[in-house]
Amino acid sequence: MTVTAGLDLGSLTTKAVVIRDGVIAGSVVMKSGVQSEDIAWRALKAALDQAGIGEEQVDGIVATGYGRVRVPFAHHKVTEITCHARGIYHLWPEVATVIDIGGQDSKVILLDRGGKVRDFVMNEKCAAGTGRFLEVMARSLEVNVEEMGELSLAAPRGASISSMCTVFAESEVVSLVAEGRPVAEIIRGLHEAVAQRVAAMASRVGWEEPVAMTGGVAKNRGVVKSLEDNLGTAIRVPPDPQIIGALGAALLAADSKK
Amino acid sequence: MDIYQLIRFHLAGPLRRRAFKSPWAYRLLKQLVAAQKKRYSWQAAYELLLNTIDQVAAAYLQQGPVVWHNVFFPTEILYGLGLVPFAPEAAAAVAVGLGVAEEAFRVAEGDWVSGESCSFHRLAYGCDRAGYLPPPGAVVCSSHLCDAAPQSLAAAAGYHHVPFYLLDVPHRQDAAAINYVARQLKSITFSLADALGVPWDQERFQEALLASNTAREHLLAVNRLRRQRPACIRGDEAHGFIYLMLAGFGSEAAAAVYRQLAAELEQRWREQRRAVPEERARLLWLHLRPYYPTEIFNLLEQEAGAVVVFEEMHHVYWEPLDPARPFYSLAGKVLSHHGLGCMSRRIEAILAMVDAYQVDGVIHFAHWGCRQSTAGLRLLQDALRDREIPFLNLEGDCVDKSKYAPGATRTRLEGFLEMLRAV
Repeated sequence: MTVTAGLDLGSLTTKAVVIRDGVIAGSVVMKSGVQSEDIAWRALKAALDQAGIGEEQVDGIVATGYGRVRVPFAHHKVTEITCHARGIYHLWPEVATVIDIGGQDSKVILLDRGGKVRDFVMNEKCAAGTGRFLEVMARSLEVNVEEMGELSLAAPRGASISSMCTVFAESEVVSLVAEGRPVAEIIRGLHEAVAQRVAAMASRVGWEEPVAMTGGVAKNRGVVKSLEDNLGTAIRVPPDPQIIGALGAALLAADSKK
Repeated sequence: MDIYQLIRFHLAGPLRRRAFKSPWAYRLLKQLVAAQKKRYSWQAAYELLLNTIDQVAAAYLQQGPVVWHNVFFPTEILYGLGLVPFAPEAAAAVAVGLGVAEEAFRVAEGDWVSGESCSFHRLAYGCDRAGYLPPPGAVVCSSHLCDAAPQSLAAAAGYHHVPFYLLDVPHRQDAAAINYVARQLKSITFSLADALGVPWDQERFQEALLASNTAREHLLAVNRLRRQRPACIRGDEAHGFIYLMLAGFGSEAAAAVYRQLAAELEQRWREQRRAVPEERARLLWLHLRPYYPTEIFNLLEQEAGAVVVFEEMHHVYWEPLDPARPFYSLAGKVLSHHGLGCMSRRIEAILAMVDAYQVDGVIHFAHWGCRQSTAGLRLLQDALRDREIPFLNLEGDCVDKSKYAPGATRTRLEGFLEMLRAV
């Protein structure tokens, strides 16, 4: 029996996945904080408890995400680029393109037939087109970020959002609310703006079908729908897209044991 | 303690501006550098530094007519006239190390110089207005490769009330283009001599071209040695010599530094002294690098063993100059730059570098001010993909450290390295 764990320390959430012989045995998602090491450890413990596995049984741990360097107990540190690729390859080996939209960045990853990263592109350092962008807008609109997807799908059209700067877009959103535009249309407009930006990134890297989406924003059906419209293709979303990076990390830890 | 730390330590605060104009400062600086001679891992780097200090001293102490030039203007003309060349764009990079960049950026911002403009020129502007640069007697600039330089340098000439000479470089490389550029070079040369009261000295002019040819030969030797496996010099160390490509050709000093570098490289190659303990990958670096401290090269070369074995900026793209036809051959040099004209020329040159230096991957540092040229990257990306050479476009800024995001940069570089290992 091989037990490995993957930890994905993102800017908004920390994810832990424990796999036993290639099958997910436990997974948790927690809010990230300033004490990365402590949160990583707590996430790992929670995932192990869920799996009913003792920490002494863990054969390998791989850390990923921006906080990966702050996990001293991880055996290896691997970027989320490679981890998301590995996670998706495990679920759907035929996928050629992975779109990952996380809290503070978005990436488009091109895979070869063996699941290796062939090329990738990431957003520039501003928050445009990321989970943080949507979170700030949700706060301005006084809606729950989890509700945004369903709300936008109900809107007949999207409001035009011209700025992708988080600060300027927020003031634009406030103005639209003041003008009386329905909140659902504003949200749809935001999703379309995010999707257009990510689709441009996908073009940069030369995306290919089939396409899968990972990261917390993949839970937002409105963004996924807008991206599908922009790319003109269906996008596969795993049951829990937020943990795919951590799953990939756990799989890479298992790979290194072979 | 590196040279910049030394200067910051000894010439801190308001003293610094006055120190630039004091001969004692340069004597002191050379003594400080000389005292640390043994700490330089490359004697060529030590010599380059001493020569650069001399060149900077000549400009600040006005030891001859100072002529500002952009980094693509053929400096052989300036050395050939016995002038003191000074490149504000190169000075901007030095300003970062000297710790005056933040002040200079604030000065530029206060003068409505847009933060969207090239940071090299913005920084040079701020340094100039803050009194950090030696006043020019004239300003020369070529129009090729950099769109911002002609406007920036023309503005500087206007500010200092000195003549400005623009070398208009067409995108074609045919005979008419060579004649067009050659005529301008001749006109600029004699106009400069007239304006600055410099007597025309044919022998001196030809010597500058011969010195350029000698430097070229030694640089070719350096480049040949850098093709060997394992690499004997890290890209981090080699990058410093790019300064000569931008401001040194036509000087005896450039030839001497390259000769020294070639000799040291050859010796290290014979002794099999490796640049890094284990060479795991070989990289080609396109464009420039950040001039403020970053972990980029440490991460690539020291941590990952991915050595930058060659820089695009060190590519010898031109044929030897003909001292009997100085302007015609300098025009040929200007027009043969691989970055000029159609993108396919640059791609062809880069693919030749990929082969010659046996690289496993290519990194392009997309400096903010030069991003007008990044539209061509799609073509480059496709060409490299056809050859299955991994490519990373690393967005950043060479001189504005406020634009640097360490975490994001590390993720891109590590992702790229993981991709290289997977190939």
